[in-house]
Amino acid sequence: MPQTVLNDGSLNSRDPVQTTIQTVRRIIVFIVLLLVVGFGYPVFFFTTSIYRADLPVDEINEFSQFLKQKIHYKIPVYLDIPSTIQYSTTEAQSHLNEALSKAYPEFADFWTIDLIEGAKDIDPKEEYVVRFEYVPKTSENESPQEAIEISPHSKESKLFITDAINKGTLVGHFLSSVLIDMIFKEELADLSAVLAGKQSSADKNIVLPYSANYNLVFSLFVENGRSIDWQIDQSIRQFQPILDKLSHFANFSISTQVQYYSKLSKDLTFNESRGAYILQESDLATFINFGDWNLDTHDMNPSINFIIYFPESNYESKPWFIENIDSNAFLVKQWGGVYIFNKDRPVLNDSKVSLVESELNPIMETFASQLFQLLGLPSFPKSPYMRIDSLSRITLLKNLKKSLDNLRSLVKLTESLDEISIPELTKEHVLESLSFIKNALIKLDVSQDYHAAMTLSAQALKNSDRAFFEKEMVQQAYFPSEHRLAVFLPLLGPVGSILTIALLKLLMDLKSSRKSKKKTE
Amino acid sequence: MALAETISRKVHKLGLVPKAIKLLPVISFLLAVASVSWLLSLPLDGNYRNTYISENALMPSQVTSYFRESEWNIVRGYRGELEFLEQTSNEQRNLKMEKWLNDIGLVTAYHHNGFTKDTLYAIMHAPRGDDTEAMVLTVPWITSEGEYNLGALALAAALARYFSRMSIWSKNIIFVFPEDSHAALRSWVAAYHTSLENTAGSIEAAIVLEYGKNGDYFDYYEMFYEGLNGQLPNLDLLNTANLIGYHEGLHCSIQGTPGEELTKNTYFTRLRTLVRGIVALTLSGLRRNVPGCESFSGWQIQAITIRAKGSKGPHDVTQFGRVVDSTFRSVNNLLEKFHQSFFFYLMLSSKNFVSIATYLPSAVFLAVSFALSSLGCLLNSGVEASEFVNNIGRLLTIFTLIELGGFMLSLLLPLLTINTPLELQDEVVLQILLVLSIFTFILALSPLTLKKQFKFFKLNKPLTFGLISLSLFFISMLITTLLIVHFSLALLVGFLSLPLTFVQPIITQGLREKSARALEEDKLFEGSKKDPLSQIVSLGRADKAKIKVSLLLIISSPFFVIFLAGSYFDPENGVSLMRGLLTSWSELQCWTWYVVILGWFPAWLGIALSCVFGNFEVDYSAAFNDTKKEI
Amino acid sequence: MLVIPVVIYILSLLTAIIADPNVVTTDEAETIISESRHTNNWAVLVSTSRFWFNYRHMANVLSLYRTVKRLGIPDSQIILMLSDDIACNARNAFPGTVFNNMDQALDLYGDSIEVDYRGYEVTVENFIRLLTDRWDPDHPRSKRLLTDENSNIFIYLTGHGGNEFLKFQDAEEIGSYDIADAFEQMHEKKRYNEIFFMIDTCQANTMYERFYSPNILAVGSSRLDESSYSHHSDMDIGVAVIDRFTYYTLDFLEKVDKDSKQTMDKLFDVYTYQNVHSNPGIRTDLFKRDVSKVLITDFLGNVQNVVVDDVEKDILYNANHDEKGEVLAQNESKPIVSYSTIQISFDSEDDSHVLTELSPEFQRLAGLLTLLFVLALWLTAKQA
Repeated sequence: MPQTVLNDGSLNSRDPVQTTIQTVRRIIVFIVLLLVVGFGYPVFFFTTSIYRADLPVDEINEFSQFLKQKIHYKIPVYLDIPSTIQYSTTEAQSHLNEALSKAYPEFADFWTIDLIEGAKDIDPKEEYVVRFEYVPKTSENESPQEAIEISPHSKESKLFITDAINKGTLVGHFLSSVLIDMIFKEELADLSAVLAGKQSSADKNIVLPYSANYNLVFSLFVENGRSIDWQIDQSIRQFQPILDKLSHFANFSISTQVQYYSKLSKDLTFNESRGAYILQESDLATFINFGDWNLDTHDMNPSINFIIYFPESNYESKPWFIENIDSNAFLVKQWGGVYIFNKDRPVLNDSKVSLVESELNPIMETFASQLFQLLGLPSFPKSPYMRIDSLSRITLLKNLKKSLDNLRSLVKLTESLDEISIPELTKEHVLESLSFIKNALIKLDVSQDYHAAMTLSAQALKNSDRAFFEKEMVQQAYFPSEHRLAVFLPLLGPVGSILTIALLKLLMDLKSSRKSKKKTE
Repeated sequence: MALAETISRKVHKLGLVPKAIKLLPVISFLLAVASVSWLLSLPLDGNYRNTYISENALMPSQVTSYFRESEWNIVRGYRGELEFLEQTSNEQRNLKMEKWLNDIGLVTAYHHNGFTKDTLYAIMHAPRGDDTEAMVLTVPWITSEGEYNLGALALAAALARYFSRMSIWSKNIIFVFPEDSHAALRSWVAAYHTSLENTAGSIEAAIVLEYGKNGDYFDYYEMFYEGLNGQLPNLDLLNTANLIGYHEGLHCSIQGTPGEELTKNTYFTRLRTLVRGIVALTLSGLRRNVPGCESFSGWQIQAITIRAKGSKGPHDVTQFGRVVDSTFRSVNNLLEKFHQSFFFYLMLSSKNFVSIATYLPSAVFLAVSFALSSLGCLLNSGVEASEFVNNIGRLLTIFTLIELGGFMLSLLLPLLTINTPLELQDEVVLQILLVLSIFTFILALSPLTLKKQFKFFKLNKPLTFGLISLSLFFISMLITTLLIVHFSLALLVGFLSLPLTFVQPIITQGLREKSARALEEDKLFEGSKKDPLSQIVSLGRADKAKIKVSLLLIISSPFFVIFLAGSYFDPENGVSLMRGLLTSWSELQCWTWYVVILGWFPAWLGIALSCVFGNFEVDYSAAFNDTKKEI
Repeated sequence: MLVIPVVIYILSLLTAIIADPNVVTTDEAETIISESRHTNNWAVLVSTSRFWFNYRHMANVLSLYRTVKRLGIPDSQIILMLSDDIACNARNAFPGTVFNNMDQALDLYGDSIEVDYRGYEVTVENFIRLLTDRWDPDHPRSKRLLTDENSNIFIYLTGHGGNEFLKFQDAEEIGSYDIADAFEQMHEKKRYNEIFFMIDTCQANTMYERFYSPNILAVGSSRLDESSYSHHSDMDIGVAVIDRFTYYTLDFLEKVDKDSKQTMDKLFDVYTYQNVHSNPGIRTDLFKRDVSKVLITDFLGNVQNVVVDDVEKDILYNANHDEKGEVLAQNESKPIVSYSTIQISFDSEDDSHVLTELSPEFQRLAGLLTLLFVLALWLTAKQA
């Protein structure tokens, strides 16, 4: 190659033409290199790289690690202590704190009861109120007894104090035990279980996963085809007050249906001695005939099904019984409830059967109870106000925990799968979810408004789900990097090799010219 | 680099290059031998493969065919009616058949081709199909053997009736009844793809049925599959039909294997089938009595012809029908065009084949053999390369003129044939063949007879060698071009023109010996008179070479081959083959004629002309040096 | 007066606990069937091939569809993915039917079939999306796998596979890593309790070897470099109608009822080389329970856990009435005439079924005793 000979050596280094050629060549190589590095590589990088938005990992980790410390339940309870009772609110508070820290030492600063004196202007439907009443020994009542009365209609409870315990500490014990072991007993147990990451004892998988919307589906399944009238519309109205009270928890939409010719998948045996058809307890698990009965709502939101089953044998006045069980109802975990209807009076063959309100109401009571179980309401105390309050607090914690679990799973997933893309929308949902969590905590701290906080926590959960289930996140999951390289190799190979050789040559030139320079010097 | 350099130095040192150049004719010949041996080795165990179904969708013989005894009666009924039609005109026959098809509920139509009788066809639209694809059942009124196609016609009518009662068709079925399976069928196929109004979508597969007056029973069946211009139906179709036949207990004969040898499968039966297959594929479309399947070539239609042989049994006519039924059911299962299996293959028996990758080297060797001898011709001529370059313009002019002549012939001769009335055609073809044969004979013999002084035209040395070399190279290129699309033709042209490669070495060798001798004599008897005896001997030797050359030219002449092959294959001494060549393009779009007249013939002519008018004089000094070296 | 005898409540609770007949010791539980803690069952059934000659894949998947439906999984919890080009194929001699046996006894297509992903919707992307539930917000519920941590999922795949891949309709393929990663994502999001993965393709076992998420039980029909064979052809339809592996699976499952106590190991016992003509594989290392204690119906059925506890009978009454027993204004329903016949009062003894006959004296006595007992407990607890 003559050119290399010319370029080589110091003889020609002084030749002006040669030096210009050399410089021009160097400039060209440099420009090409600059183009490749400055333009080509970024283009390659941007067209092939998977977009991975930066998730607020530290914040998520911090929240999920210190969630318990960030939640402060401080439940105000208003005390109404008559002067006849030797007891003060401050005493009560210290007694209560003592008892609480003994029973739930881990709840310090997390869950407390704030006893407030004076309950005159307080609406017992809004706030917890405890009224003390002194029951003196009278002529009619020789030995009066201590008693508790927890209202089923509000958040009020009454403690009847007799002389026997009308002493500071004893009253304190009484109050503490009423609050901790009765009114808030299930709530505390549930919260403790949720914190420990276990299933709450009462749950046993009965409770449906939380959703902001539920469908309540009331179905009448009739074994044969004889038409039946049921006054379900009237009976359902009784649910309204409860559902109203649960409105912050979730939206419930109610639908009803009647389906005829709904056979069981298994025939029952007639028990002569009891004069009834007997449904084995073991058959209950497969009682619902999914193959034939249409229970699909096609709605995105989960359904809670309540089924009244009307056997054909009602026309023969032969009732159906569940073996070993008195009631005719059972609950299907995380799904709904079933009630087997036996007509009290014989049905005349040609008359039309109708289920009147009075017949339906006890069934609705059963369903209401089942609904409470399915939603995870504490079974005690009776008052729906108190139950719903407790439910809100439990659900708040559950939702926050679940949201953070989701976010943490998301982080873990993005760390373990290098190829998965993290779209900007995911990040937005994560941030939204986090801000809802923060807002819920602030709401709790500022006003102890459990209902509003719970609604915010539901939003946080929804957004964390959205972040995880972002549609775009699936796209690149199955596109291995080898494929990507293979697509570009025909382009990169030739260009790359030419460039590398040119670069090597340039470097060698530089080296030799430097050497020659040294020589000349 | 270093290694290559050492090698090249070594090669140079040992003088391998000149040696190799000298040996080029030998190498070329060895390659030709290798080509033949390769072909002969194909039927050896291990070199061929057993057939298999490659396309999953076909699923042959996985379905019960109900074309059985009850349908037999219907076949008999139709046959009884058809027997009366044998003596009637084509119009009446078609009318009767049309009525039957209409009764079944099929749409019928006619194709008027303008040169022979009309073709009746009927379309059975698939009741649940998408009406875009079709299968064709063709039944010519007259079989390729000139027999009234009685059994097949009755079978077709009965099958049409049977098919129309089935609901499983995804492809339409077309029934075609041409007068014969040659030009009439070909013109129908062409019209189907161009001008016909009643069509039923693209045709995927076609079966031509031949079942003459065998009666109710037949012994075995014959299958034909050669298409035009080297095309073959997809091997899957053959295998499907074969497998179905096998499950019916039928024996299949291909390439004219006689009935009693159907169960044999030895090296020689396989070789026979192979060779016959190559010849049959080369001649396909050139003969009059074609089986019909080649008419479908050129439109991506896979077609076979099946013909019932014998009348003794044990197989009955419904079995023949079941082969058609099951094959159609299999094709019906297809979702795409046939594409899975081979399109280029050679059959060794109905169950063995070799695919293109296995047999191709044979033709490649041959092409290389020609190329090497072309090279050898140049290098051993003793002419400087610059001289060749100087003469290249003239060389090309001469060759172009030869090609032009060939081109004129290629157009004129078919025109002449086609434009003569049918009854005089044979006469005209005979004249053409005679004229051409005589011309080639004269040309081939003229090196022997023509005295120097009669050579009114003389080629100089570079031109002579250049022309031979170019002609040989032309053949090599011809083989290379054809070897994939029409392997059989390439191979046969190669083999038949192989003698041409010996022409130049023989002449040179002869002259060299002669001159060497002359040189020796000159040295020995300087100044003295030449010994008459030795002169005679040398003359005799030279003449021996000339005789050899003439013989080589004669046996490699295309028209001599046509004459020879014609007299072997048909009783009209090549007239029919020649006519086939001349008319096959206009009737069937078969381009074998052009390969012969524009490829083979000009190359032959080029070599023949250079033999007649060429100058092969050997450079004495060079020859002397060579001999000295050898000593 | 609505004074609650607290005692009764507490006592009734105590008695209930003591008398609970359902309490079983852990030792006993071990010997019985290991309890799955799922509450719902889902099935994902996929035939990844199309075209007429793959009839058997369609029949495979429809057979399993029929089986899981028979065993109680509702249609809304079955995701059926298939090309669905067989029943109405022009080549089908029995239009509108799909059979899985040459006796043509059972038309798999006859019952109501709910195909969720049909034809060209059967893609790798849709399958991955289905598993990871990444969809448009308006994607219909019936086409989604809405599982949670209490769901047991049965996943069945059939089609043409190779080493660590499965072809989807001749157009694309899914790798075993893709499925493994999808399962991991499901695991992270707590989208399943347990998965039973079954695959009937050539070289099927290679598909589950990459799984790494817990609680997955996997079976495949054939080893690496092994084909999965069809069982038999129907000579009238003209195609193979079922694959061997699926045939023997179904043959076993036909004997299983909704409430059957058959266990998984019995199913695995039929996977022999003699039956399947290839070497079926079973992977249990990710699965925590012992397969001999896992019910078939844990995955293929929908056995629901029921509770027959006592229920409260006054929630609605309390919600609709005030302290005085009067109907609240917001309730517009007319007064319930016959309601009085039912005992609902707050201090009613009907509250408890366990203690129904208690005199007021006894109640008081018990109340006092319990109170004392409670007090005593407090005191002792304090000292401790």
